Amino acid sequence: MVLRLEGIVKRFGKTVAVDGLDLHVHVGEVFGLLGPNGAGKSTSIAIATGLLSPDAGTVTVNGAGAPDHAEVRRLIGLATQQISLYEDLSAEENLEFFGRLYGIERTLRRRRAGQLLDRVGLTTRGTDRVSGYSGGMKRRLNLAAALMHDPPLVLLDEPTAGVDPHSRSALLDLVGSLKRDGKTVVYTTHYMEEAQRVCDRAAIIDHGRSLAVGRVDELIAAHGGRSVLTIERVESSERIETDDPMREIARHANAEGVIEVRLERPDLESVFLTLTGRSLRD
Amino acid sequence: MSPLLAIATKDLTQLVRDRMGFFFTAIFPLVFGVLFGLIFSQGGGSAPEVRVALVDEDGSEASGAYADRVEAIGPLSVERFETRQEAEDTVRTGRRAAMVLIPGGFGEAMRDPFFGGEVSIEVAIDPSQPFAQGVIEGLLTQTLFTELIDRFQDPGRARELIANSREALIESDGLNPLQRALMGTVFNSVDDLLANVEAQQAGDIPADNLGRDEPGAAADAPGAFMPFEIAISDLRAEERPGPRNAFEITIPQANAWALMGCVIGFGMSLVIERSRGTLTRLRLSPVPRWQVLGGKALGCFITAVLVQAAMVVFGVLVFKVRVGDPAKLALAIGSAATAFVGVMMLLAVLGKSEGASEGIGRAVLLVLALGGGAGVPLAFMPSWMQSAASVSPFKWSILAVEGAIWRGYSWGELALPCGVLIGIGVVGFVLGAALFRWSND
Repeated sequence: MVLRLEGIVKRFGKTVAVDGLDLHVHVGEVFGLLGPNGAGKSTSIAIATGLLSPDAGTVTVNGAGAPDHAEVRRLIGLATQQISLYEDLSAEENLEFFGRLYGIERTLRRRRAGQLLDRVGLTTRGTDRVSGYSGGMKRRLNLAAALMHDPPLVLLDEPTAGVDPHSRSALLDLVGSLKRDGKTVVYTTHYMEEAQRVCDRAAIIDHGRSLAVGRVDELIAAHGGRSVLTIERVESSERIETDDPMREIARHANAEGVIEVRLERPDLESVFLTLTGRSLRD
Repeated sequence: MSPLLAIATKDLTQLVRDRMGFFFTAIFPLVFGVLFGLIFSQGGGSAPEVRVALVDEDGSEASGAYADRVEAIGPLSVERFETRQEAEDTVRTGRRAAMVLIPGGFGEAMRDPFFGGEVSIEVAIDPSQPFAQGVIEGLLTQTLFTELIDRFQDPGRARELIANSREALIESDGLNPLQRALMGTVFNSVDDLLANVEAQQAGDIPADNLGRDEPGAAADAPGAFMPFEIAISDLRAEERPGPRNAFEITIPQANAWALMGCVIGFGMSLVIERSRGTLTRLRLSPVPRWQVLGGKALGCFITAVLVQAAMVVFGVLVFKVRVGDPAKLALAIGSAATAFVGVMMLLAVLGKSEGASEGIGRAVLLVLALGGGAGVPLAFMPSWMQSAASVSPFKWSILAVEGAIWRGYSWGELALPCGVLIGIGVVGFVLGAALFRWSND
């Protein structure tokens, strides 16, 4: 177990942001922490990294203890939702600086900075000041900065917020490569298609509580509802909910007057909406 | 609502909701105006005072009476000293704006201001407060004339003066017979006149019988009689320490203003780091809190030292500023930098937003700078303000750097301003570190 949160409670005044949350993140997996705005995702991340102290409950990282110890914090890399970079420094200078904070010696620091810039596609802009970067470039560098000290546990808080499709795709590819490197990734987002693409397991949380935890396909099977088959005819259209879509397709595909059959399988978004409801949130 | 009004309403709403920003935008200017209005309107219960060290080397009855008169001058705050050296030291070290010395022979000269020895007063001025020269010279001259007028208004004392002068006239060998006869006639006539006045005061002669001249005619005439000399020096003599030029005085003041910019810049940087999230990265790193704050403090310290050093080097190279003792200057600069690091730490934790922090920084530092004599000389301030200036690091940093550049401070004398500065720095840093929060949550 790389990260264990047990019975976490956090209040801000009368507001209960996290309400008895339990999370167990296994080694080498990409774990999705999913929920609507205000569900308690960022607060949970802040508690997991030691940025906030819980009112109740315990956090254990890699079995080594709570993240308020310096040696435990070395095990964590965090890419915050807010881009946290020095805009007046170049990308190289930013990475060098963050490397120095972790006591990485100069040669290794430079080599690692170069590798990370290459990995996030910023090698050619490495000496440019960050203030001149686009939002997507800053996001990628923000993630690279979290990896500078080569932590085994990486927490990404809404890493694709506000980026263009190219940067989003690059960031998701990077998450995949982190998994291949053997790192454990905790990924918060409210973009369900992203989570479905990169996460092995996920927890759906709302109002600071965990509503469901499991493998993504298990969550979909358990909470996603039935598949929907849409049959378009010349003069009409029909929606059929079914547990066996292949059988229904076979039944309708060659029927007279059918011009199109579309299948909508349940996905993480339907899991999300089923568990958290469809009402708008403030 | 037009977009223009919408934007204005939004900005005003934001301003009101940012309490600290609102205070420094709307309330502080009022406080500032009232404070300095009180200072410059002589309000607050006391008038500005020029602090003077007084030495009576003569020790005569006349010098004692004159010293009492000087002490009674309203705009002067007088402290008596036994020796010239003690008094000069208080001026040199900046504790007094001037020394007034009544030299030996003053009493004898006052017996006959016409033909006796010259009535002279020595005044030594702190070169950093040149305005004090005119003020003191005028007040001392006025006091001497008042003393003389008082004597003439008392016919008995005036006739004694005339008698002394007549004796001096007889013994004088620098006059030709005609001048001697003429002055003798004048003294006799004045003596007769004073005798008549005495008689009139006794009720023997009607007042109408006394002759009168046009009032003020003599005093207004060109080349009016001036029986006194007030010898002014500003401690610039070669054997004494003192600035060779005005830049030796202005460089320490410029240093103080440079420190202000440095403090605002670094104080803001901490707030900016917090608001832009980079402080979170520092917090997540294994670097302990004291090292993060210490790193900030060190950056500020180095910059403050470099800024001051650059200012002095510029002064030396361009304006021929002479550094009395480089080692003492290094201590003074280091102490001033330490103090302002502490001020920076405190300012950095007071505001939550960048705007509030900048407002607090500028406002607090401006008050400390003006109150500490970095703008208006302290001697122009009311006495309570001069006392209150001791809490301003600007006052002590100027004094320490002046002490090392031209005041000729000994190590012992430098210990006070440098000690105060280091104390301010340590207290400010400890308080700032204790109040420091990683985030505004």
